[in-house]
Amino acid sequence: MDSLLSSLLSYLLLYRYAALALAAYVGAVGAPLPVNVMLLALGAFAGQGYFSFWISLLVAASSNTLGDLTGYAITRRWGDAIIRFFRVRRARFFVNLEKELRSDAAITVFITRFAGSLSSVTNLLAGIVKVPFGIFFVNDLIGNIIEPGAWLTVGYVVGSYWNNFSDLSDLIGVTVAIAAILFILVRMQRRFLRKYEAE
Amino acid sequence: MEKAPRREGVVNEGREYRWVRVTVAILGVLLALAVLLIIRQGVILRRAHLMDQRAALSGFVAKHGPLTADETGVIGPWMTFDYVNALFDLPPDFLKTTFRIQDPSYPKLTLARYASTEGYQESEFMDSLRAAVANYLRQSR
Repeated sequence: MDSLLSSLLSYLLLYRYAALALAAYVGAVGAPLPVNVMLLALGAFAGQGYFSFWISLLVAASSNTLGDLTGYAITRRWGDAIIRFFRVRRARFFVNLEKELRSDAAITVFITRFAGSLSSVTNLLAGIVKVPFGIFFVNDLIGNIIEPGAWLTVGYVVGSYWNNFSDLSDLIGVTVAIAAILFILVRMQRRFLRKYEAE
Repeated sequence: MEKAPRREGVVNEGREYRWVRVTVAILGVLLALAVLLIIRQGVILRRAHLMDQRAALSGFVAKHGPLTADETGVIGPWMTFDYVNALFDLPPDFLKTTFRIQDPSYPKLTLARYASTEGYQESEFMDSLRAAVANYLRQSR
């Protein structure tokens, strides 16, 4: 077990829901914390009666959502300045990525809740392209209930063997991230082909 | 004359999107590999009877009861004394008495922190603790 995960689990056992809230929030903002594996372990702890499953889910979902909203709010507020500074709007790819993210905002936000660190990147992009707050919040919240709920449930069922599933949780996160990026790129490609045929 | 600049713009965009097609192809291969790895991981877990539906259902209660003397291997240095007590249903002061722990933080104290504070070799301390828990469980159950 790597030292970062060991430390997280120790803090979880010592400081309980406060540690969970902080880890989930910081992970959602963008820190590379092994939150999914932590949730697996937490599900096992809940199965052993050491934590409450439903309080854990409530704390994880709300902290994740707050963290996502933080990333979204930062770029919503300062996104234009960031784009101007890096002169990103001159890149045609970015203009088309913007159009794509706006048109598929709901599904993109929802799917990337299951895609590990890609969710933090999506939060920042959603703010930059000004995805409407309501669409972002609703899809983010639903994803943040289902995703931690799934890992907590797996941990609860497998109990003390949760560590055997940690590689699987990482693999699933990477797979969903690749699938989400593919989805966006394929949609962009189709838009270009339709435009090319119209020309 | 008017059509040429628009056509040229589309051609330029087509050249730009060549790399999008290449990226899509590479990601497609990576996605297929990732799915294969997930299936492989699932097969490994199934062979270890960790993803067997019937075993999961029938073992649900067993997994959620206290662990046994044969399962002391799960004890890790990141655990706290009170978590180990809960995991094996030990008397609250068993480990405190056995190891003469005087740290006032007990039982809200990690095993690694205690070993480090007392100057013990972590691996040796963990072996002693697992043996003490296993012996107690064998004698009392």
